[in-house]
Amino acid sequence: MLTRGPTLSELEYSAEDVLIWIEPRVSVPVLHLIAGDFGPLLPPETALVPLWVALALRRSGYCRVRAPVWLTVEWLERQFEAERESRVLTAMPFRFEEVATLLLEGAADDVADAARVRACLENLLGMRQGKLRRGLQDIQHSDMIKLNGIGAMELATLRPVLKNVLEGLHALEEEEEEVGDEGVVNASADRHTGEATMAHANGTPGSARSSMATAPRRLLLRHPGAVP
Amino acid sequence: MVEATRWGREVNGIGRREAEESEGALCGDDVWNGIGESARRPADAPQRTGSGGGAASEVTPEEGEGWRGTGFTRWDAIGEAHWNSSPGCDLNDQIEQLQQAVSDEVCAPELLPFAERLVADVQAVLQYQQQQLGQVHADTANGIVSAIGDRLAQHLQRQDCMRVRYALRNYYRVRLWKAQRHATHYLRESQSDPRCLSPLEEAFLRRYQRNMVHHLNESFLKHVPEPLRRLDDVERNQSGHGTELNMVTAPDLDEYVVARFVHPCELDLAATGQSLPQAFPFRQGDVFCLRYRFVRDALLRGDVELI
Repeated sequence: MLTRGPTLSELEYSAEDVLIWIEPRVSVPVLHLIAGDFGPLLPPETALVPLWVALALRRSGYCRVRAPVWLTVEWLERQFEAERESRVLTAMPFRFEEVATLLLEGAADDVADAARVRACLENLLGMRQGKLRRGLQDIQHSDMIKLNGIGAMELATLRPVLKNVLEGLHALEEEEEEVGDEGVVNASADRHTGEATMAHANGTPGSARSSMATAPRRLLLRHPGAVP
Repeated sequence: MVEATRWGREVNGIGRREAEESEGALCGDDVWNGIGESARRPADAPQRTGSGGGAASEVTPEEGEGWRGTGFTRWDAIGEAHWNSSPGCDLNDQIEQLQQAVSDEVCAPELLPFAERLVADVQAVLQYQQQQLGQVHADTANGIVSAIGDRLAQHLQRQDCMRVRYALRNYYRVRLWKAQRHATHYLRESQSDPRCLSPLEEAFLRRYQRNMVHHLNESFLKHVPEPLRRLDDVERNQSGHGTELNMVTAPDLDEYVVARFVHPCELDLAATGQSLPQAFPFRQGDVFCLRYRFVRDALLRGDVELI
């Protein structure tokens, strides 16, 4: 594994670009930033600005941040219930963990019931982590893994493990085929055959080869006739 | 199964389908209807020169309640309920594109084509903004006092410049790191395809290669017999019939990457060169971990993002 994926600092940097509503306390004309034109900040109207702007203003006391709709106890508890009922990961905003951390650190007073929100968030994260770990154990084939609903930080921690698992599985599958199909030409070239991949992705009955890939190594089953 | 509660509908979006029982699926199948998502804009978006850049008001979700979209763009991350009027800010898409370019480069095992236009535009805007700030700095040095609002704006503009510079530097840094790993390979490729490296990168890689060759020669190669001194040998049939060992390594396109599908598309999942076209349909918003080789073309087209 040679590519690293974004580091945690890069994830935080990307999360700071997320837009958020603020209630400014100082009057500022339209902000002409490279990131865009935001403005004008006219109290008491709310304004939409990037998170880093909101936090910078909050630090100097120039605004009050309005927490996003998903950073409340009710929402998180409901999401926790949904997560518990669902077999797979429920959808969350992609950078929810980073945004939540930044807000709870930089603007904790503006988040209603911050301590309980933190606890709910941790419960939710724990449940999702559990699902990911169980999902890892269920990986059978090294073809494709569907990760809908995953968060950026979860992906960053999962990535090295997932890559190692998939590459290891792939190496084992290659080895199986090379050892088993000595009598067949192009054995290694066929290892990526869409047939096997499609069988696993769709759950349809696979060819003899795909069943071989999942079955424990039984050399007696392999013979040139069974290979498509 | 659509949940009846208001929260349930908002959380799961309108376009929710039944979760499929597909093998190999690690996680959920909830599909967002992507209404609130700003589609990936082409690289030739109007250039921003300090006044009204890329319009973000294309984002017009339907019923205006709850949280739409895939959650990937900055709009969706807050899940705001009041989208009835235009949000009141004008976003520069190119910064988002730059971030995405950095993300793609960091995740992909090979060097992607240099985003010349994007980088040139961003550098131009950065220079303009810094000139403006320099002007303001000169004014304050001359004793012209500005209102608190203006000083705040300048502080934020300076911070914004630093952020954009960091993004740009990150892009260069990641590209140079990847290029150095397979310097000879990329130099050879840039002969046939000039888009892959920028002129400065190419110059850097040539100097790097020269230094490396010189270093190897001085360290030990000059003591080695003449015929064994080449650095681009190809050993054939050493590990069995038909194998080839190359001294000039190419990036491994079989690495696993996590790809997000921006547009629905069908990918041919058979190995390249096979005659079996097994087109697997991917929906918008799907996130998959699969081999880079399969998503390479879609990535270069813009249908896929690496996260």
